[in-house]
Amino acid sequence: MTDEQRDTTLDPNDALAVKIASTLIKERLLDGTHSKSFLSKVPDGKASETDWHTWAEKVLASKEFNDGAGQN
Amino acid sequence: MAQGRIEAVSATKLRGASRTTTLKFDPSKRFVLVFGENGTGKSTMIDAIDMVCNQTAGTLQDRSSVTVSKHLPTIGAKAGDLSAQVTSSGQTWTATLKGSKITTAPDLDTPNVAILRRHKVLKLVEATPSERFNELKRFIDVAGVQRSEDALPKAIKACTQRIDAKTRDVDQADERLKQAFTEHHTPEEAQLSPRQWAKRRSDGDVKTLSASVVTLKNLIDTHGAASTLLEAKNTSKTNLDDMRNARKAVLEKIKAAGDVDTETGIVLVDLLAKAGDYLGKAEGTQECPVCLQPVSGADLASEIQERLGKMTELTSLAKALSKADEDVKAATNHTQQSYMGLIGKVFSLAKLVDALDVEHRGAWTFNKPQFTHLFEWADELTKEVIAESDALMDAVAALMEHIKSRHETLSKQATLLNGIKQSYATCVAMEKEVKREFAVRGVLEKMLEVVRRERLAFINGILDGIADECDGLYSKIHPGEKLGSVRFAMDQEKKGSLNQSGQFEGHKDIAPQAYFSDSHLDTLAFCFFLAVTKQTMGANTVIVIDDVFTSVDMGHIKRILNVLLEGTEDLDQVILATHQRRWLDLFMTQQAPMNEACIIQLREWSLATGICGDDVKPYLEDLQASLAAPKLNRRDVSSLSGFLIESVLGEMTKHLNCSIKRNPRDKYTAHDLLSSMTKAAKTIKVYAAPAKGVDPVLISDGPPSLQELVTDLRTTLDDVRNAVGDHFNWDAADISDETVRTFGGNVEAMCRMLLCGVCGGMATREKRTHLACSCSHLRIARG
Repeated sequence: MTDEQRDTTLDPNDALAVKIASTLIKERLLDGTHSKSFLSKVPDGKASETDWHTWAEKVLASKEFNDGAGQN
Repeated sequence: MAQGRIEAVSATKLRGASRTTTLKFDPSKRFVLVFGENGTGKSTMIDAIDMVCNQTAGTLQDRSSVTVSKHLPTIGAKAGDLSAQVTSSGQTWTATLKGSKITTAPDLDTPNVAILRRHKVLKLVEATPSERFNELKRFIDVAGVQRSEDALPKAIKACTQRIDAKTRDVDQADERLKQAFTEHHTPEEAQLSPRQWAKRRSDGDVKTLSASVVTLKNLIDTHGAASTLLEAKNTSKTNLDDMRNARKAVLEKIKAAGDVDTETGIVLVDLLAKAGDYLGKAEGTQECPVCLQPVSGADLASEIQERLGKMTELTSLAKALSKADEDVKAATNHTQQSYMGLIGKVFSLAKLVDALDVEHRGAWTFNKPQFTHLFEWADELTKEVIAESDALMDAVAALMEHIKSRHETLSKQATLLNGIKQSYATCVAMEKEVKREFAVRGVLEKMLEVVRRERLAFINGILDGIADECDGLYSKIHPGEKLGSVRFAMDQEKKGSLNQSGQFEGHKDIAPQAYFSDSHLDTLAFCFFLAVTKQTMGANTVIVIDDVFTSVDMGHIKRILNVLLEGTEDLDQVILATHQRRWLDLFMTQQAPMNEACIIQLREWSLATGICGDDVKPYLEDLQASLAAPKLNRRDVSSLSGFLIESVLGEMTKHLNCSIKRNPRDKYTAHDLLSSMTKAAKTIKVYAAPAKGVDPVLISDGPPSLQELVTDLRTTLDDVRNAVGDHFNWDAADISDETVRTFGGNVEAMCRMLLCGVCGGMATREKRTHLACSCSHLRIARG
């Protein structure tokens, strides 16, 4: 296996976390500015209750969510 | 040529490789067949690949009671003697053994190799769900995300607990408002709800009320302080009077003391006492300190003490008077300070009373002009000020009862109003927070839904991809059989558990290992392995299959071979090792596309010679070589010709649906096959291309034509093949070399017509209008 292949062999946790973050942002359930912190914690199993709550609070506070909230 | 193809593998002192053995693979061919009977060293050579490319001990990796450092080297050899090499794209990697650790140098860019072995087949198909999961773990194990996901329900639960707690706060505040409403609402407010009432009351001027309470309290406190100071002033005044009376009594005693002038006597006593003090300090002086006459200081001191002793009473009175003077002076000062403190506080009280709202005074009136001096007071004690101060204290005494009563009333009102306001504010604020928490919980619940959905979709996507690929491959190997439809699913109840199900005779969701035959399980494991490899390792991968198919029949072998040749085009290379000679014969008889494969046959093994392998050529090449030899070997030519007639026509007559005289054994002689082919040869048209990329042209019309070749062969078969090649009889002696050579030449010509010159295989694939070989450069159109 080449180095390149090793590098591009994504840990399934990472691949899944990217997919989840993308869907959450798309469905306005995660503020895009938190995707970095999301991806630094979720694949490693480090996302705590507090983290989830913080992300939920932020998305509620975000303009994007509030603008779109009425449409849901 | 693909970049990752293995071109050569070598092994030295590795298991059966007692001497250095090198197998070279033609890099232009994607398929490699390594044939060898049991114990010829196939697995050893694959172990060499495994060592170099995967740094594992291969066959010995999971075996019990095996020590890699001891058992991986050839018996009698040491770990340090062992080495394995793989060459690919001109680069060579070497694996060595140090202790039990396998190291590959260089350690970068080794070919990407997946190996399927017999023992792994059992793991893939017959393993427990958890073992099966472990085989796919690195592709579908998302334990990290799952741990994070597990925190989500906890966050939702915490949110619910906060909602419950805050709702309780709202209920309790509501209860307090309800009670306050019941006790304090006015008849006009009876129609209001406790909340409406509380809001209305909260909107009232609590500030003014609170300010009034503070003002009244300040007035009460100031009056209290002034009263205390008044008492202190009176006490001080009484004390001063007492001191004055005491001094007066001392003076009267002095007056009554006598014959000397009292005042003079007191001065004298004082003078003598001071002179005595001086002489005590000026010890040894010899002159009078006043007149400077010569005199003994000691004698003078003694004389002074004697005179003072005689004036004792007068001395005591002098001391008493001095003390009385000091006492009067101190009491006078204290009294003055008491007055100042009192007037200051009364001054403040006067201002507070003056500023007091009329509503607080009630019926009491304040005649300010009576207190002009007091309001203009500037720290000077005058009789007017003292008198006005006393008058104010007297006047305010009547007001204070009313003020205290009003303060108590207003304080109660303020406390009630503040309580209502606080409870109402709690209701409003907590309800807002509850609403917020509901919104957060809603987001968290949706988040959980998304995370779960995506996780399951992610895993199932991979599993479905593998299952679809596996099923597609399986149906190619077992077309029309009522089994397959294998699916995989994560066990929702158990972590790290992968269930497998399939279809058997119309029954769905059955366990394949319970119903499938051994050969079907073998092929299922093979398909699963191939699907996993294709789905997860991608291109630039070499797959190696080590003697996995032990119990499959010829029909299935052909279909497996088709899968390996055509279903793995996205892989770099396929290396198949087998002990079943059927695989070898498929290529040697060119029923499989010989030119697309690299065939290696391993010979008998011994410790002394090690592993021996050489390239294999098809029978047709053997015949061509025999015909080209200057010295004709009649038996070889006759025998090989007969063998080729049977192998080629045996396959072609089947695919051309030629009629044949059936026999119970379903096995046919060369004569039967030539007779069967005679009729077909009249009508079929064979098109062939001489090289890759060139359009096929008609070749069956000859000269000689296919029909002429088959007819001639049928005529001469008995004489040449049977008499010369197979049996001994005297008739063979009458057959010339020329006849044998012609017979062999006709067989070769027929084979060249029915075997593809490009891929080396037969036209056995059914197309809409014709049969074609695997590369389609040979086509046979039925008549």
